[in-house]
This record gives sequence, C-alpha cells and structure tokens, in this order.
Amino acid sequence: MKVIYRYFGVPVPVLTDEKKEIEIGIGSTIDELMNVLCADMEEASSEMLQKATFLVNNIGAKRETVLNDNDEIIILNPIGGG
Amino acid sequence: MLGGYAGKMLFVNLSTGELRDEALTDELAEKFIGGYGIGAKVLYDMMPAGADPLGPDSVIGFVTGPSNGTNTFFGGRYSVVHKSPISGGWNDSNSGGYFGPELKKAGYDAIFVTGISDKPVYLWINDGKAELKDATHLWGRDTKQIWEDVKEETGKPKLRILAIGRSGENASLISCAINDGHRAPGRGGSGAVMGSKRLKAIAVFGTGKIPVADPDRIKEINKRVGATLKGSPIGKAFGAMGTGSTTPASALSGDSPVKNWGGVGVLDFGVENVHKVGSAEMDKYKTRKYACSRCPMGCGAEYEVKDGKYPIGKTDRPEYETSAAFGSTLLNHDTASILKCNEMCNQYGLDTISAGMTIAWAMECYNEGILSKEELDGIDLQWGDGDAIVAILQKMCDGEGCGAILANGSAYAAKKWGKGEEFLQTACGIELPMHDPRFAPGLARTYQYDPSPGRHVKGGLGSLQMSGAEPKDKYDYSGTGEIDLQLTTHQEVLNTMGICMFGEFVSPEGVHREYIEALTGLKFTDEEKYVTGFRILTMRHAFNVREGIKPSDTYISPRAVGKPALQAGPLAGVTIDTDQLARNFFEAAKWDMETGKPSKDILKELGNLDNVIEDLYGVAE
Ligand code: SF4
Repeated sequence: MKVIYRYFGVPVPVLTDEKKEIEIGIGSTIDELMNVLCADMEEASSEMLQKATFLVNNIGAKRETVLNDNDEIIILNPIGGG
Repeated sequence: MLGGYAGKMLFVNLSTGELRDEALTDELAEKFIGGYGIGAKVLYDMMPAGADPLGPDSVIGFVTGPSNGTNTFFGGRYSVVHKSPISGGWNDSNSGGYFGPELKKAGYDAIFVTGISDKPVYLWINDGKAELKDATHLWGRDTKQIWEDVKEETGKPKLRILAIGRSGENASLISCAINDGHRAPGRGGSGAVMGSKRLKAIAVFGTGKIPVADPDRIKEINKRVGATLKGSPIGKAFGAMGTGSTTPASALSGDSPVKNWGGVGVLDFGVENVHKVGSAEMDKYKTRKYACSRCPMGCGAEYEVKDGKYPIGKTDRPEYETSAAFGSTLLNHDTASILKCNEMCNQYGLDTISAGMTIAWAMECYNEGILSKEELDGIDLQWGDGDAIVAILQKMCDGEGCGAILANGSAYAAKKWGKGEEFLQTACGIELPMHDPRFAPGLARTYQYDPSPGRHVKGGLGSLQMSGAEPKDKYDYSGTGEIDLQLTTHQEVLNTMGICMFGEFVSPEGVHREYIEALTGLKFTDEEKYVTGFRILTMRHAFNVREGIKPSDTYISPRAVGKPALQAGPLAGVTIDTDQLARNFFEAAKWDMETGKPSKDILKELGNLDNVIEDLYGVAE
C-alpha cells in the first residue's frame, strides 16, 4: 500500500516538510514505517527520532498505530524548552 | 574565596545614593551557588515581607553564577531577582549574552538595588569602581540607542549594558530589562521595578580575570562537551537555525499554544502556514550568526530587513517563545509582523511572551464581542491580522489609549475593564509561556506552583515530557513527585551556576556537577547537588510563604490544563490532574499542601535556612 509522509522538527538527513510517498506492506504500523525511514540514518538522528510524535490524518497516533492505504502521516520532532 | 567568584557584592540605595561593597562569603557561595540562589537568600534577608514591589523597600538583584566570566562552556547566563508586581510573589528571570560575564570581570558577583532615586540615574561600574550617574538626558531612549550613548559618554566602546526602554520607564507591568540590545530577563516585570526606581541602566566594563580552582579540568570537560555537541542533531539545528528551528513542529504537535490556547495547530493554523513562523523561512534575512559568552553552539543570529512593509533594518532572529507568542497563539503567519514585534519589544523593553499573550487575550475578547473596536482605539483586531497586531503593540509600547491598559498584561486589563476573565491564560497573573501542559502535563505543576509562576525554564517532569523522553505514559499521574522534584533541583543548580539550558541538551550527563568542582575546588557529589538545588528551591518558596501566599492562592487558567478538553487534534480529550501532580510534588518536597510551609525537618535537613525556620515556626533550634 502507499502512504504519504512529511516531517517537521530538528533537521535530520532525508526527512523534510515536503510530502513524500512510500510503498509499505499492508497492515504496517508507524513503527515499521519509521524503521524503513531511519534505516540508513546515522545513529544520533535515528535515536532522536525515537522521541518523535505522530499525526495520522491530523489525529494523534502512536508508534503501534496501524496504517491504511493513502494515510497521511506527519512526523513531529519538536525540542521543548526554548 | 572559592574559585569561580569575583568575591564581592555591591549594595546600592537609590534613596540615599549610598554605594557599599560587601564580601561574598564562601558559605553563601557554597550553599546558594549564585544567580537566583544567592538572590533568594539576600532578598529574603533584606526585603521586608509585604513590601510594595514598586516601592522604596523593594530590592532588585542582578546576580551572576560561578561559570560567568570563566572558560566554562555555555556559562553566560545571569539572573535578575525581585518581587513581581504582577504575581505579588517571588520572581526570577535569567538572560544570556555578555552582561553577566562582564559584571564579574568588572569585579562584582552581584548588585542589589533598593530605594527610589529622585531623578533618573544609571549605575556605571568601570573595572571595580562603581558610581551613580545622572540619566535625565537618557530617559526616553530605547535599549539599543542608550548602549551607544553610554559608550560614547564613558569613552568605553566595549562596555556592556542592561537597560530599560520606555515601557520600563512607564512601569508597564510586563516590561523587562534588556541586555546587549536583545537579550532579556523577560518575565515578571523587571522593567517596571527598575523604572519605579528610576534606574535606567547598569553599564559595566571589566578586565579582571576570575580565578578558578582547576582550569585544566574545565578545559578537559569543555573538550567532552564539544565532542558531544559535534555529533548532536539538536546542536546542529540550534547552531544553524536557533530555537526557531522547530517552531513549526511545535505548532503542529500541540507543544505550542494555538489561538489563545483554544485552537489546534493542524486545523486552525494549518500545516501549510507553520513554516512561516520558523527559522527556515525567516533566515532569509540572516546576515550573521552570534553566540553568548563562551557558547560553542550559538543559537542567535542577526537579521537585516531592508524592505517590505516593515523595513526595520538590523534586527535579531526571534526566539521560539517570541515566534510562537506572536505567531501560532494569534494565528498569525505574517512573518514581517513577527519580526517587527520582536524588534519593538527589544527596543521598548517588553516581555515578548506576555506582550503576545496579552494581545491574544484582547483578540479573543474582541472576536467574541467582549471588547469593542472603540475600546481598542479603532483597531480591528482580527485573528491572524499581522498589521493589527503591530498597531496594538505600538499602543502598548507608547502606553497610549488602550495600550496604557494592555501594557500591564492581560490579568490587569481584564480587571480594569471588568470583563474577559474567562479568556485569560495565566498562572498567578503571569501569562503562560509557549509550551502547552496538555502536551507535557508536568508543566502544569511547574507553571502553577513554582515560586516564579508561569516559567518554562524550571526543569521538572514537564521538561522531560517536552523532549519526549519520559519512559512511562505521560498522562499517568501516579508517583510523579520524586522525579519531578529531582529534575527541578537539577535545573536549580544549572540555572544558578549560570549555564544555558540548551547546553544541557548537547552535553554528556553529569558534566555540570563536574564543572562546579573544577570552578570552586569543592567536592560536589550528586547528593550535594540535590540538596543544594532543593535548598535554593525551598528558599524561593519560603519567600512566597512569608508573603502569605498559600498553595490555594495560586492558580492556572483552566483551558491550559484541558478544562474543558480540546475536541480535536493531537491533544483531544486531554485533561490534566494538576492537583494530583501538585500533591505528589509537595509530598516529595515535604511542603505542606495547605499552608505551603516546608516542614521543620526538611528545613533543618537542607541547612542554612535558620531564618526561615524562625519566621515560619518561631524558633530556630
Ligand atoms: S545556546 Fe543560545 S542562548 Fe544558550 S548560550 Fe548559546 S547562544 Fe546563548
């Protein structure tokens, strides 16, 4: 199936706020999507993305949330405290 | 004297013109570190309970930490302490730049000012020599212009200055002092306190060296910090784009408040608009990057806005708090207006958070038909209208018409106009900062119950949750007391030693305890760090208890804690059990939830709080 994702947060390689499409297996979770996206990332960045929060179709979601075809996922990684 | 200190404090009485040096004792330095730790101890002893924050008995302190003026990385922050004319209780705020380190090099760890001058004055400290100078001719100058003027009249082009602008002169309750032209100890009304004393500025110049116990160890720790910083994505982001690097993410995640805390980022502000309030967009104006004293990261930047509707010329990159306060909170994605508001607040000396939030309150009142266009002097204050925001802020800066009311903050305005209280978003009268407790629930306890209410720089459980690092469900309110207290005491140490909290994001764990050892020569174990942080927190809290402020007198606006809960977006359905969080914290700290009093046992255990025991319990054994 195909999902759309975009990213807002501490800049990391590959992820940007532009919409991108990706093919993932039917019934994949956000966690599985993140594993694919972080596969070639340096450790510090992928570690930081462990703390990301997610919206699926503008509703809050968790890593274990199961994705559906055409879902739009927003990956958020703000830094609090500033 | 311990390493890391200049060894001297300056006491100024503006009513009599007396200036007096006093040695900083090792005991005071060891037990209260610096910044608002020493500040709380001195103010508690010096200032009578019940003093009018804007009256002659009120004391305002400018206090450095042991890291200021040394080689310690991220060690550029000092504190301003006073009683807040807004909350009526304890107030501390801190600021970076170069003022704190320069004050140390000029020979002083701290300055405490009391009394009221009969004419405007500024305090000039030139390499150990302090004097009061007439500032009648400088009254009315903005915080940038006065820097140039004082450089010229003293013949010291390298001096540093902390000054109030016209807002402080008018004793606007949300005004603040500004140092280095753009850094602000912003919260709680430091500008009003200085203005009420007719103290226009403090200018400092120094060439002294601050002795430290083990300079080689500091170098070695710096090396380790530098190495972690190099590999840190946060370090890279802040170094390149400052705190505004993640403003868009905060607006969407629910971390930033939206539409006076009643909206939802993804729905009301819009995914396509968020980038306009972040550095990625604003940095097209960047001309150079800058940093505070001894900061290897440098989150600041100079901008130049040459054209457009607000050609403000040289200015500074807005911090996250400012971009959110004038951005998502007002549904405003007009970048030019945000830059203009930032510059106006810096020049006039207004707290950007309180100014933006006060406008948010007025905007909601106007849009709900509670405030009329006439009451707002004809300004059509629609959500997201950048030009209307600039127009109303100008009125606040000038203290004219409705601006004379709004310049005292939203709580004051609601009282004065006798309406709109339901739309206030404050903690104990102070406008809430730009991190939403519904996103990081521990903040609810901090905002309401910290001795300085409404602060995002006080550590605690909320700080862990903001960065997504809490291991358990953040909405599970059981057993939070110990960790909340631990993290708060940790931040007390960091803040009072003068370290920037962003430094911690990119430093190996535990280095700040090591820095204290290397600076002072004292052994500083984890246990000592905890007790010292706890003592400082308790000292600040005791100031409020002595003022008669009970926990039940404190409050946070209900909307900010999910009463009622949002109906949509990532934080839909969240209501925070602030009472439970507070009970957990007070129990862990052994503070009485009803009277606020720290138990006699904990006061004794923490030590060096005999006068507090005497005031609260009658006898110090
Ligand atoms: S990170 Fe930013 S605020 Fe902190 S010390 Fe460095 S320049 Fe100053």
